[in-house]
Amino acid sequence: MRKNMTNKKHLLWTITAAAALFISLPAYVRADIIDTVTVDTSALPSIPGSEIFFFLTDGSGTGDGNNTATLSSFGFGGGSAGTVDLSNTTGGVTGDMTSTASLTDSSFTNVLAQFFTAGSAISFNLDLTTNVDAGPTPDQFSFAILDPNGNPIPTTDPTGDDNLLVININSSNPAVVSYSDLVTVTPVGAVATPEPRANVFLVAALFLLARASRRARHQQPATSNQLPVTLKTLVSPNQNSGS
Amino acid sequence: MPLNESFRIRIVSFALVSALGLLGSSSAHANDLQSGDLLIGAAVPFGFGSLGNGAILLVRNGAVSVFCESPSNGANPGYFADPIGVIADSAGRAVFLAEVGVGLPSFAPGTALLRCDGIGATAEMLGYFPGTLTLGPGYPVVVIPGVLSSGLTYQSNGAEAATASALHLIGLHTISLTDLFAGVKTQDAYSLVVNPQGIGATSIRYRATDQIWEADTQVMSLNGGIDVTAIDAISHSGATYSTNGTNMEKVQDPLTVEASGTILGVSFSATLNLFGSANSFPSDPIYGFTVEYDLADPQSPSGCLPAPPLDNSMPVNTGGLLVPFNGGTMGSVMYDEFTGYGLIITTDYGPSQGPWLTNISEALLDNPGDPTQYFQDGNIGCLAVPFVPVTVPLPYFGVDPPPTGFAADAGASYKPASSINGPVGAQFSSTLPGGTQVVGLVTGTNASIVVSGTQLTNAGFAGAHGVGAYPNGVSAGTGLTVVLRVDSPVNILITDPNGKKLGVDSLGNAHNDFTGTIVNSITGGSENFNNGFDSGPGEPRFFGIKNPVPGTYSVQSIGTGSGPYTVHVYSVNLANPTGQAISTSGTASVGSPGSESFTLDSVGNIGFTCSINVSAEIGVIRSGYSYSIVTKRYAQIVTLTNNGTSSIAGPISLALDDLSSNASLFNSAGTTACAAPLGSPYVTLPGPLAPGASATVVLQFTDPTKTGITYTTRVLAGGVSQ
Repeated sequence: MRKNMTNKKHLLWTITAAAALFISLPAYVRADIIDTVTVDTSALPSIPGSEIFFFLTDGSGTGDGNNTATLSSFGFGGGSAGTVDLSNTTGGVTGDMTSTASLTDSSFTNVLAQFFTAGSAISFNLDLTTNVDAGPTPDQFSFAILDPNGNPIPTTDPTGDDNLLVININSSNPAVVSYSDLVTVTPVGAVATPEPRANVFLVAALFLLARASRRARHQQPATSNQLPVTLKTLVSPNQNSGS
Repeated sequence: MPLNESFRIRIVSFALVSALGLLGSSSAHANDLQSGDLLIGAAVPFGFGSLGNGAILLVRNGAVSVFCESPSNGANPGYFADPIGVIADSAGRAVFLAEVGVGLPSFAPGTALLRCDGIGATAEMLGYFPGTLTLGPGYPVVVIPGVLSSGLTYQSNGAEAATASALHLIGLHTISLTDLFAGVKTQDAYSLVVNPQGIGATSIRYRATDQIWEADTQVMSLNGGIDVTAIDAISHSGATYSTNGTNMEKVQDPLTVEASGTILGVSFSATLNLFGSANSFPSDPIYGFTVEYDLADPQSPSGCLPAPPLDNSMPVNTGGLLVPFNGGTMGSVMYDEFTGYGLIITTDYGPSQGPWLTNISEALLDNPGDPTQYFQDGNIGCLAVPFVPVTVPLPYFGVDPPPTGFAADAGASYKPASSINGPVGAQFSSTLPGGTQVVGLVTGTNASIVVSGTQLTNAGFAGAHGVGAYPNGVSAGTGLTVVLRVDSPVNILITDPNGKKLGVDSLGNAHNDFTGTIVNSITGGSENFNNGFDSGPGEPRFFGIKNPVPGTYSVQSIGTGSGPYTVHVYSVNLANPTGQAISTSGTASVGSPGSESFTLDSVGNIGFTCSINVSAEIGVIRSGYSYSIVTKRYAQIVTLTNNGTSSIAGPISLALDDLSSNASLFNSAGTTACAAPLGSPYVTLPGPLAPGASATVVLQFTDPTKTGITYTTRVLAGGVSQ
């Protein structure tokens, strides 16, 4: 009896520790923005030379690399991707619009510049992590398009930079601000993506739970639904949706 | 947001200009006069008591010599008769009034203002005032647009045949203002009174350096008749004292401002006369004239109940018998600049009604309602009666020896002068050789003889009238003046540290608390004051404050139209004389408020007020940085929110402290130079910001390194200088 009490205490301690770990998980989990972005480019001439610029700036100014914009599933509405403008591409950039491109704020200024031939519209999926920088200035994702003459598609961007879309990553669910009627943003959904550090905690928690469960079964069989119920209460549905 | 004011440009310049450095002398001649010299106007005896051509005599260490002399031929344009008024200017030149053209086909040909630049010089005719007809050529008729036209003739009393009088020297300060400069010009001006037909006594002056004629501070008008010699005037410390024979007036001289500049590429120039107010001796409510009280005379109880601050004693006798100039004649006016007698008039009060010099109090000229200058007159129901304290008269006659001195009258033609050795005056006596002598005047019963009649006749002259002294000692006005110039489209309202307002408020109502009349409730006397100036609607619009108190001057502007505007603030210290100029610019729209407040210290240093750090009340939210591939600049939107409970007046400035060295603020309105820490770039929002309200501003950065931009924020509000 006394041993059973000890085992029960051990199980409770283990579950409490695991719960504490899970409770702490949200702080270590990023919530991505996943949108499909479409820009009406029918007004652009159907010739090579239009250029799109994707920007990701680091608010901390240190190049902390805590956010990434992944651009994929590019469509050109009858147009086509051109070459990467290496003279304007800088910072933490990989890939290009022919497949998947990625911008990470590993530098203060991260730019992917790539030419394209305009069709009716240019579209892509944007998967943007939303880790908030320490300090007063957030990271920012934006993009703009220049016509073949080098003139930007005019927008209502109050900065005058003619960005078509701006996202200030000032929360886990930041606003997506479009400055042109040419832009359509279709949310795909926000997903919880465990960060590597969070995964470590999750594995540790699961290990502790499994160990406790084995000890409990060995000492005193648990009810069949105790653990699943506990897990269900600790993992929210959207966190399970994964990406 | 009621404003579309974008940002301000501050231009600050300091101009310290020595008046001498600015002007210098218009004449290259050497100064032939020495300190203590006297100049006497006299003439060559013509026989049978008549006088011929005039001369200016130099009296130095008791010796008489000729300074300059008229040709003997009356038809010569250089001819002048016996001078009727003489002054020595600051450059040692003799300036005098005299009849000219005597012997030409007119008995009363007129009077001229002449000047001899040195010993033996030919008199230069600076201006001519024709009598019954105009002589010419060679007689420069004075024309002052809007004042004196070319066709005028001038009235005289016939006997003197003088059509001008009251010659006196002015140490003239003229303020010069440009867009970025404030300075003071100091020069001599020769002031006189003429009496053109159909116009009346008119004060005019000749600027010695600028060589122009212009209107001067208007002195008292003639009290009937046409004898312009009944008027006399003197300048002292920026004020003009004048008499018309029966009363006296003190006028704070207007300050002439010559302004020029450029507004939106268009040049302008303007001449303004700021301030100027006149007060004269108040009259007895029954007798109708001013009561003077000789401080040497006894007083008696008035029989009235004490009514402080009114005195309940009164002079033994009022009504004109004991007073020096009641019902009599006030002649010349003089200010003793050297030996402490102060304001002096010549009167016919004294033994045998001869002319005496009398020192009088200025208290009632400065404030005619001052109750300390009133007593209760028991003879007239204890009414408050003003009195002018006078001191023991200085002997202007009764000199012993010789006992024969007897002045002809107290008229301005015998005007005394202030010398470094005390007042001096010309004295007429039918028994003196040549009929006149010059005496020094000190308190007592006897006057010392400075130049005897014998000395004059031995030099070949007689008929001493005017006396001038070198140095003249005339003191210019002192004190501070602040002038604001507004280049539209805004109205401004200035509030001084005591709450007095000048300008136009947000409702369009004009204010000028610096000008008006104060009526004393006890005495009924009224004081006129005019220390505030408003040039009225128009561009540019000028405002001025005389003798401003040191402290902070609130200046609130309200847009009356759309476009850029500038507010210039000038300070001028006449005592130095120096000037300073600062200005601030912005862009206004209708109803847009702004602040151009400034500080002034006791010596005239001015500066726009520092803004106050209001960061504790303002929440600052920054966006991320966007980058323009076109401009190669970074942009950031900053939102300011008033988290406090009271509105924050604009302009509101966001200063970026410790901006990382790799970046600079492209759209900076300036760097902090007033509110520490200094050197931080800032942008300005118009404001105001109500509680809970927000405003945004876009920051544009250049950062060639494309590396991180960091800074801390500081929010400044109020004031003008960040």
